[in-house]
Amino acid sequence: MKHATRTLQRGLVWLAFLGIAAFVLLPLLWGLRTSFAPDLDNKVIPSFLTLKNYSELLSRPEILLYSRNSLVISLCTIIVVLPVGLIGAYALARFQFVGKNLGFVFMIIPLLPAIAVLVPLVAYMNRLHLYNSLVAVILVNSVFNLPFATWMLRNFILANPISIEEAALIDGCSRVRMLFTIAIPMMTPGIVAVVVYTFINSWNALIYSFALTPSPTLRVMPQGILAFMGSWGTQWGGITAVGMLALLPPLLLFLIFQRTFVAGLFGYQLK
Amino acid sequence: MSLKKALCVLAGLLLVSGFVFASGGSESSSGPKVLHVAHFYDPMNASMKVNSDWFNGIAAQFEKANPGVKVQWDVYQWDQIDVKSMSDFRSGIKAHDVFLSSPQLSAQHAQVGDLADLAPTIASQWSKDELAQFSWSAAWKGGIVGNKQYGIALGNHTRVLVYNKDLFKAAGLDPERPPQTLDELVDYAKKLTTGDVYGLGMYFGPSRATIELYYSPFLWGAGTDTWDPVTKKAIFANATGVKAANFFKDLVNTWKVTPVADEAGTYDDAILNAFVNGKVAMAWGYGSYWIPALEQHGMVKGAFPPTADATEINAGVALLPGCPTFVNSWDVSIYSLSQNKELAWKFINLMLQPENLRGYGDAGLPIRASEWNGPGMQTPFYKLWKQSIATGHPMPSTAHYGELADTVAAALQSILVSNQDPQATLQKAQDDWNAKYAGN
Amino acid sequence: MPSTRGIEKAPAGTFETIVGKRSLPYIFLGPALALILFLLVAPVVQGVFMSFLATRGNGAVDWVGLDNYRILFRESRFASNLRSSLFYLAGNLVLSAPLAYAAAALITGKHRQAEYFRGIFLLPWITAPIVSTLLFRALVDPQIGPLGILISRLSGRQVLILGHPVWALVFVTVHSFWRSFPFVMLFLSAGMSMIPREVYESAMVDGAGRWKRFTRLTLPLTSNQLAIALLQITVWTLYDAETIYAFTNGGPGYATETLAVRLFKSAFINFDLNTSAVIGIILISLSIVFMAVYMRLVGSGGGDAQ
Repeated sequence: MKHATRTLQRGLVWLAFLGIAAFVLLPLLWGLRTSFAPDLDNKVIPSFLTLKNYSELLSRPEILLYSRNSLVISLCTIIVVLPVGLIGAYALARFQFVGKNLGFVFMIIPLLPAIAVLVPLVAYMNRLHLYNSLVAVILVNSVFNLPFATWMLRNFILANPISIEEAALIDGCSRVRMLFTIAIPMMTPGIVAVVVYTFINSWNALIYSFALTPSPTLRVMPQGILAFMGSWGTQWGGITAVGMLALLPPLLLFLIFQRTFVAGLFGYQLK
Repeated sequence: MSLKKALCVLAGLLLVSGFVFASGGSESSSGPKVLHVAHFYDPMNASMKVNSDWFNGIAAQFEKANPGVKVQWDVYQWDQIDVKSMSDFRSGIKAHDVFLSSPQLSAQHAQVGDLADLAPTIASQWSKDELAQFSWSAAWKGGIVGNKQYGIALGNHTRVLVYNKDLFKAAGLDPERPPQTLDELVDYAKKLTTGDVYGLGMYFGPSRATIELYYSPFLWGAGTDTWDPVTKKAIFANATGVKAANFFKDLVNTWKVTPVADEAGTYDDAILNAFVNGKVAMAWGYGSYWIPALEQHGMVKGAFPPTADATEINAGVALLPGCPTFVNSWDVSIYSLSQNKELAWKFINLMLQPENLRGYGDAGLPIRASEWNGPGMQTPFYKLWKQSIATGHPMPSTAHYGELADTVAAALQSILVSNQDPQATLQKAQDDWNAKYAGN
Repeated sequence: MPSTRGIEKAPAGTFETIVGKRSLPYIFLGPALALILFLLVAPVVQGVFMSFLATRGNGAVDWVGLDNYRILFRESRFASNLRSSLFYLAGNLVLSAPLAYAAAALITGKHRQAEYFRGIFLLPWITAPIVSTLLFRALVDPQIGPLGILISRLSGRQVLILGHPVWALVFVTVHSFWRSFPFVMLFLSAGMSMIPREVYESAMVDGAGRWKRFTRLTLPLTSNQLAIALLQITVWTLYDAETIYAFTNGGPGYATETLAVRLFKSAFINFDLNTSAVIGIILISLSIVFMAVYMRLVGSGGGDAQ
């Protein structure tokens, strides 16, 4: 009798998992289907599959260009956010100092709406002679990713015992050296989590490039997607094809680092 | 110890190379002179590529004729290019020269000051004949505010009433006699509405097209407008405006000659697709950019590309009964902070050369009067399109045109979809707009 | 909060002795604060300033004090914007929180199955917002989308979900929920997995029912994760202009025009800088209110993970 209820329970659990997966996947599966279907074909299973959308897309040099730009922005944002967020998080987690609460308040400021500050930001960037360069996008993107990155790292540091660090300090190690040789290696899952999170956010970001880089050689992938919505209508085959392609790098990154990412998000160490 | 050092060095190298790589995207300040031309044709989209190729062709000619000058493109979304010009101007950015612009926003460009006044240059450098080539079109007026000119029209986009001649015959109507007045229009529509087919396709969706192509023509036909240039106030809630709103309501709900779906969705679906697929017998606001579709669907023959034997097989065209139509264009302008105004003017003139302008597909029907003298444009079909351009009307010259169109469109949506009272809704919308923008 | 005050002397000749131990935390926080001050505070201040200005017909700019705010508050459109923003936010929260808790309860502890599904569950978050928006928009299109076609068949006529003032907003909210729900679920699941089973078991022994176990144990012990997740959702929905604009442009009429969409349109479509500055300030004020609420929920400083 107990065995039956347990299998029933397990069955329900599987059903629930599949249900959630279906809810999550349905729109994306439809996108996949449309990217392989001829335009204006609206049967559930398309009358025939075609690679036309993809071949047209991949024959464009722009797609490599836009991907390169997105990649550069994402990587450079990580290069800025990671060190800055790391030492900031360490300070907020391990030190006691005057103005600590003010530090928290400052961390919250970038949680304010990006669109509200985008217009004055353009003038600002122009004065710095950074308008229409990827540097501007990288800097702004970094600032808006900083709070979450710092927060995640701080939580991660707090979840790990201070005893090892204190032991090193008692042994005569300088704090900075201890940071690099002991604390940071212990933070690897947290670091991976920040890298993955920042990469995904940066890869998908549209609004900063939209405001700061008009040059067509600096456009990013999401803008490429918008290119398919002309003033005379929308091409669904093209849009879904670009969308699916744009999905690949973050997806790949996530799948490779999945376990570390989750561990980092919640303060576990990888066993 | 060495690991830490190595990591630091690596991180430093990555950082430096990242920034070097990144700033490689911005222009170098030395070297050849750069002319910045802004348009909205992202070459990644196949259908846009045709137009961006045209621009590339012009650039090639220009660079050949002006050694030492490089043309650089700035690409924006078509509905955001004007604002880009304005906001970059406010930010003090100088690196723009030629801009495509929308004539509906001319008054706003005038107020912001981001586009240069071309009137003096045109007066001194164009002959009277050359000017006449352009000024016959209603689209030309769109770029003019007062006695200043901010844009030169590159083509003509106009709209007419199309009707299905076969369906006319089936309903016992004369296929060579389209409706001449609004009353006749309704009368015909009632006769043409049978089974699956609606008599009259209109578009009342939540977009500016509703105001530009449907609401404003009604007001123009009665001698009024949505905005009064003398008092500089919105007046769309006047008696004619309310009448128009009620007229639209009646089309859908009382006489049932227009499908309910026309209150939403897209302009393409409601007019283009509905007409060529035979779902509506007449379509108001059929655009000149859709002439190829008529040819593709066999409703006209020899009309695209225009030939001397263009015949209307079962699609007829007519002027909007009792109303002038909205005519617009894409304009080309010079950025007011441009450091290369003379070069920009040269570029524009190159674009406007008849041999060049002919190849610009997105421009629409020709702007140059001489282009209308060819045999392909003498057919009744094209004569009618030309007439619609000559008798057409641009949108009012308010600096807050965008908000005006959106406000009226939203009010119409409330009236049509949510069944709000037309008079009260329009009045409240008008008062709200005037509270903020009257006098502009 | 762990303190390192016990260790006083730093070894000679290191970075620490050069700058002094007291200043170390400030140096560590320095770059972050510099970036934020440098790149954000100035524009926000400028935004506040611009909200008190108005542009006249001849291009001149005047100081009008609170006039812009007064005119805006009297607008029926503004009231609608506020309502839409709050509905969008509340709708997402109301849908996400309970369903995420239920789903989290499901996947917590079932490591093997959760592993397989986790990548799939986080797909909505990994997808670019513009892509998921366009996909949803196409899904519900009565010509080409399976959902749209289904609804049209069921109701016997062409139904345009995105053309209906109420259903458009509901649908846009569902999309936002689709995007954020897996993220919240993941967070809550992690929080819940840190609660030892003995805590639940002793509660059960004490006779606590499922609801009591939830409200007295699960909820308080996962409050930190919940706050972070809710804050993340608030940030995503309150400031989200990109997706709603791609859905409906704020239409039909102004039915789906949230404050963020209005801000986007004012700034980037209509170039009305003064109005956009006013709405920006209002949006920022709203966010501050929400942040204060969440800080309360968790206790100041964010609390410990344990």
